[in-house]
Amino acid sequence: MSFNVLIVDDSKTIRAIIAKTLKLAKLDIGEIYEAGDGKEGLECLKTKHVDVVLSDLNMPVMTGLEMVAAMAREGLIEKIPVVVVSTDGSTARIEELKQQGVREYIRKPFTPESIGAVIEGVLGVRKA
Amino acid sequence: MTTESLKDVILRTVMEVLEQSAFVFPEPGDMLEGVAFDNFEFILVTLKFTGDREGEGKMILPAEFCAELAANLLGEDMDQSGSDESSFDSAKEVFNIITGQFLTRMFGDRALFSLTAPEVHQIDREQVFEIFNNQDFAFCMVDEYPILAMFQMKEEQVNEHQGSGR
Repeated sequence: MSFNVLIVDDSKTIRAIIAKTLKLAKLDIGEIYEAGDGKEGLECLKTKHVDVVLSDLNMPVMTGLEMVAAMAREGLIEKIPVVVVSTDGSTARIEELKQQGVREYIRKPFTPESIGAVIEGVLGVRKA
Repeated sequence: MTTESLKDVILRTVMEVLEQSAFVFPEPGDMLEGVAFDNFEFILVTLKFTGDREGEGKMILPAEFCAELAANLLGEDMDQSGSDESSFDSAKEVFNIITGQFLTRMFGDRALFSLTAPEVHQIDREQVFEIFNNQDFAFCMVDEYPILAMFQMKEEQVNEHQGSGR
């Protein structure tokens, strides 16, 4: 069964790069939705069926962590896993993110294989 | 760490990130030896970081190369991805990754940093030469394109989880 992905990043180009990489990962993806910040991401979650969120951290209006906190308040974080995609490689930061509800972390630069492995692990799916 | 070894870390990071993320293959170069700077329009990408150390990074690259970066990152032909927005976004993204990798290499994976959003500035050739003369850039070439990068850090406290500094 295919699954839907929400990509949250303030750069349209980065969203396109992530979407392209997801397609190259040969996962059984249905829809790919995009949002330019955490607030738009939350709005998308209210109107679309999303199985996993891939999010940047530093964004204007609402950061990735603020979005995760809002998802936790609304009881969404248990149902929809959030994977942070970032350049930050600090293990301390990754621990902090996981404590706040982030399920997994992908460090840039990523490959189709690395992003595919994380999504498979988070959703328990296999490649298409 | 000496200035030379800092430059080595910067150079290695720039080259590896360009290879891994944009599938281009840089070679170390010498700024003084026959680089055709007059052939290009250059852009400057800047970014600041705070946290365990405070500082800023700069990367200078030809605008033409940014279009190639965008095409490679997006997996498209250069005609399809050739807008300034996607070109400059790609340069910002690559420098963001370079900065993250550089900081981990310098200070270890326990160090914490916050990075500002990268900014792109269009600069003229005089500004390029001024930067070359005044600061200490690592330098490499991707085909005919010169790429320069540097990081300046304020002298601050040594953090308890500082890494190996390689």
